[in-house]
Amino acid sequence: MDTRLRQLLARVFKVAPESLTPDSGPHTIPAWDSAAHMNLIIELEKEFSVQFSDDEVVDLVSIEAIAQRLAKS
Amino acid sequence: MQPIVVPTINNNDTEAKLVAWSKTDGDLVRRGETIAILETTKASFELAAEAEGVLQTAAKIGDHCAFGSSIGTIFADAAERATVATAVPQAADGFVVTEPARALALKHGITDAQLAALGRRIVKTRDVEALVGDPAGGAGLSEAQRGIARVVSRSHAEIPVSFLVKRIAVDAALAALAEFSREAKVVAGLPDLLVWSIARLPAQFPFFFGELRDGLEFRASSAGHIGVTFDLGGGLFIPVIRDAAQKSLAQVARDLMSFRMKALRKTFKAEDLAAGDLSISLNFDADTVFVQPIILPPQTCMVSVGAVLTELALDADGRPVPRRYLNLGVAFDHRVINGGDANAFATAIKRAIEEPKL
Repeated sequence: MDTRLRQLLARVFKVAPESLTPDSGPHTIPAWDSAAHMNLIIELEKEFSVQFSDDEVVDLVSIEAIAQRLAKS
Repeated sequence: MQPIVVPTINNNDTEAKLVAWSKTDGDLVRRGETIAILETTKASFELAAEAEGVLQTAAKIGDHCAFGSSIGTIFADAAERATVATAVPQAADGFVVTEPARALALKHGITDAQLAALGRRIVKTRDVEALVGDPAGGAGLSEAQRGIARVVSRSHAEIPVSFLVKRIAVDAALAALAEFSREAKVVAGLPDLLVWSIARLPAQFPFFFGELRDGLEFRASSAGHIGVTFDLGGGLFIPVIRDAAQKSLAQVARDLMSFRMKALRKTFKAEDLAAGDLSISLNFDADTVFVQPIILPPQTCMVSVGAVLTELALDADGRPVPRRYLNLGVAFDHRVINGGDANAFATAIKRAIEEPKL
């Protein structure tokens, strides 16, 4: 996993970076609710200089999905 | 002769600004063709012709046009236009409005019904000025806030509201939603569950979903068009999840997430904000105990939820255990809904949240 992505996710959800895996998502991170998801999207857009469409945003619900989307940018 | 009427574009506003006419006076227009662009405080709206004929405009670019007001006419042909178009504008029930008075009424969102209530045969500028009084929204308010001011002022003036609060335990719902999110690969939370659950109640509680029009005529709706408040720092928006009664919980969650991003980026379209049957006010900020919402005319009910709080409760063995809960508020129009029905409605929501069947 990209170090920048791991650090960003750990910061947004206030969890240890080493606890994150590609399968991590709302079901494994209790703090990952709808409000946190928006914060995550904003932070991702700033950190990686991307802009997600509204449709994409709803699908970025696992670290693996986020990594795959960032790889396309 | 077909009047061009500004529709109720959304429940967040009472009027729209005329941004452009797509055609000019005397042009032939076809049914369904865009003839004007209107703009509310939240989004722009393309107004289509409801008849084929010859256009005669009445409102000017920049005018603020009340929902339900006429901004022009489509005549059957050029001859009819030539005969009628130069006449003094006259309301349907017989009184005459002078041009300056009509412009002032349009500017302040005063409807023909209000003008008719004056009981004058000729309505002049000073008559409209008396109706305007101290217009909602003073100097320094943004256009969006003025729109909100008009809606809440109308609500307070028209709706005899009553209110009840119901406590709802949410531990079971939060656990079920976490499992559902994992399986459905969505971020589904309490707002989504609330919308989804409430949208399934119109058949049981018809008077909570629909419109109360002039003359106390209530039009029920079973579609489950549910409005949801969003204020993410860029202003208050109340987009509507259309046909929520027919949608899965996952689809509701996706729609709401999309709305959050639109609220953040201010990218709503007019159709996102089109009138709902009932609205929900979300107030999950920490320590918000409850919120008394303002019903959006012509709706008859608005539901609110506060933050998830924690209390000590007794388990089956009488031992104190932590329990998460929220307070659900139901503001209802007492002309249509009585307290017993409101309590039954709140209890149905409580049951759907406390015993979630996802």
